[in-house]
Amino acid sequence: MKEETRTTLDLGALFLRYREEGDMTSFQAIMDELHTPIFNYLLRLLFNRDDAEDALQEVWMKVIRQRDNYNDQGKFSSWVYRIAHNHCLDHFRKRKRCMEDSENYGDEGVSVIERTETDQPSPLEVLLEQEQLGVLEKAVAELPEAIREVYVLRAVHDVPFKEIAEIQDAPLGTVLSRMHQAVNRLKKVIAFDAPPAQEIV
Amino acid sequence: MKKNSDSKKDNVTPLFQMKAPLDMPDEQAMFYFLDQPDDSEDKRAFLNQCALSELQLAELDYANKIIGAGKRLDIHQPAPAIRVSVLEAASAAVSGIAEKPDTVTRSRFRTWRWAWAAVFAALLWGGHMGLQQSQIVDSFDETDFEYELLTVEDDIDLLQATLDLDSLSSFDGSA
Repeated sequence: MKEETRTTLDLGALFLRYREEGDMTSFQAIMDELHTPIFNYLLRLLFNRDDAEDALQEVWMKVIRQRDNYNDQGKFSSWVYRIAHNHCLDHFRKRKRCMEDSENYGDEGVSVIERTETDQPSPLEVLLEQEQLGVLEKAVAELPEAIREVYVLRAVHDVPFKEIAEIQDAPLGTVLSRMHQAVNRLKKVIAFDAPPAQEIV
Repeated sequence: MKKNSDSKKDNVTPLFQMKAPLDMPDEQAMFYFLDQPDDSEDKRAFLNQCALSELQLAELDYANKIIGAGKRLDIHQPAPAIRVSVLEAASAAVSGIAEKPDTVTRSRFRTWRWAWAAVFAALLWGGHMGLQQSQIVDSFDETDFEYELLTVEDDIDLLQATLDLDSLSSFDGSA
């Protein structure tokens, strides 16, 4: 959490250096930090890998084209997420996605990624965790767009609620209410018998 | 008697299992405290309140688990070609600004303008100094001239006085 805040603050300075001095190493550093998170955010909202990749490219092009609009007082990552959020809204308006897409999500979007964990769990634990996470992934995909977005930003990308409110252009209370709804809906689907390895508090 | 005491024991609710206090924040507000730093007084007060209510503590624990689980979801990598094309576009966007001809011309003109201004200022200063020096010399000449004039005038006065004396003495002698 603290690391995320530190990098986000640095990203704004890096972007200004890129904008004012044309320093490409700064832009590369920004991409190192945000390229994959933005892609995963788009993938979990758009459900389709091709759409998410197209959207990712379009988001970066907007960042480059609208670079003069960036206000250095705001957080850079929030600004990029906001561009991505607006792009998704446009996408939803154009395509009018329905719940059928979310049923395909498990087949086309999800792939097993290598994990680097220090303590190796047993094969049974791995199987249970994979199963549990698969259920969670599907349950998240079935959440309504706005609620899903709040969950993905807070739980997957560690974005604070205050920044999510800026990204969604919604009051903080609305964002907290959406998170509450997300947790209540996920609660019905997933049963955590064993506590997860990572805990916030 | 023993039965009575047993039934009393069953009726007693342990402190930990008591209902949430009235001033306990609702579940929605509970998420707000997740963003607060650990040393925040509000968060500490909230956690202390949670310690009094098993229900609230369970809710908090579950919310933490659901949010914590999000961090263990798969991370997908986009196609590497996207990164390459974005970097190319970013480079082209800023190099376009640097190679603008008017910007380059303006900057050269600016350099020359300062050089010319410096030369002009030096010439002006030199001229000013020269003029000032000549004025000083002129004023010296005037003083000299006035001094000479005064000397001549004095000499004339002296001569005149001598002549006056001579004529007076000749007048006295003839008389």
